[in-house]
Amino acid sequence: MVVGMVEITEKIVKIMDELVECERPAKRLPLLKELRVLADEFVAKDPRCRAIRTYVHKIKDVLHNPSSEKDLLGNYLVELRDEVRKLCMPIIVDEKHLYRKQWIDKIVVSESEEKDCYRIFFDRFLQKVEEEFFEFDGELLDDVILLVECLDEIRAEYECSYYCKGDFEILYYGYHSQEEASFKWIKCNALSVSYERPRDLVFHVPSKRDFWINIAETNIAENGILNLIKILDSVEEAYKEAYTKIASIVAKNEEVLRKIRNLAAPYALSTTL
Amino acid sequence: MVGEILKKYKRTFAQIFLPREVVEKICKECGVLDSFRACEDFWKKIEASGLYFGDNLLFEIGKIFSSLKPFSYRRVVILLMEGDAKKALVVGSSIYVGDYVKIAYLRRRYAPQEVRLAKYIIEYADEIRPYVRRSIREDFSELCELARKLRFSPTSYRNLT
Repeated sequence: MVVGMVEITEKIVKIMDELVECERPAKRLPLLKELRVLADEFVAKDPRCRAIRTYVHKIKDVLHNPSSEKDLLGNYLVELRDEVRKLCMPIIVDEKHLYRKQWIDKIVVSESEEKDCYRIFFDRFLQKVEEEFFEFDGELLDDVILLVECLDEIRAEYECSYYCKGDFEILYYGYHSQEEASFKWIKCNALSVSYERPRDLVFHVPSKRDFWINIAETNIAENGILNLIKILDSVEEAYKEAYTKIASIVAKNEEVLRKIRNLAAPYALSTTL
Repeated sequence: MVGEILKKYKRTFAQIFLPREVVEKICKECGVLDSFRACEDFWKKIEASGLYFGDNLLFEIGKIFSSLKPFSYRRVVILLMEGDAKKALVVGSSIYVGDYVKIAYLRRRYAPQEVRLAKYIIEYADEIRPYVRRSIREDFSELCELARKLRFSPTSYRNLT
């Protein structure tokens, strides 16, 4: 991506953030003027933005003309979304961005059919973005504003992608039955992030730890972290109990194994001679 | 009631896919990080105990029994009925179980690995004992009695069946 484009994008995003905070239209106006110049510059530098603008005009025509076919609107929205996605790719690939904590709770993790492999889904996240994207504000129904909304999605996409890049660890919760649920610390190696399909990312799991929980016996509170603490305590207890049992079995086994070795020693010696 | 609890549970934990450092920071503040460390320590100990509990133990037993080979100078085929299926237990230079027709009529021979050999001997010790060569019979019986006292992890033993 051209360096100038990155700067323009950052400026647009900054203005957009300010714009979101403005409650009155009078305060929005100077920002919108500034935005228009930047947006025009952005559009002039990237031909795909022209395609977006064309779709935006088509959508507007359908919305303002009662006799036009409403079915077309859906198609235009889909095409517009595809154009936005095409626009997203270079930004996602070229730029670095710090992840935002608020995006994380919209990511779903699930076990893949492949062994030692987990899959991150961004579906919930993108659905939410798309819902917001297609909500037209009457006052701000302007192609510049729409472009800004497109850029919002771009920003969101590349933020969630960058969150997944690199080595990181997450806590995975799996529901199995009314009695069983599991927690796993998953060490993720997501260096090979597929930017073309960021909503469906597979990462490899070199190691995992399973914490099995009996959910029927666990007291449930609203606060997730407090629950986590409680769970860790109960896991420690469960492990302690398991380890005590295993330790006694191991001690007995060692004793028996010693006797077996002694008894079989002459045979073992004769085979080695 | 259970349904409500599950709903709550899912909602709560849908919110805690946090990076580990974030959770650790929160845990540190709450003074419960030791709990997580303790879990990891126990887990490591449990994993390490596999040497005297899991597949390793079966392998060790199989290796010890292998030193008694040949178990018999004659090849003895014993019929085992498992439901409607006809199985054959063979006591000869080694000990193994297989399909009766293949073993008795087609004279197929197998060489089981240590883990499998240990499993066959522990499971069919009473059937095998009379056919073992006389010079090892007494020691073999005693070793079988001792091997039966061992406790194996359910997964390592179940995987063989």
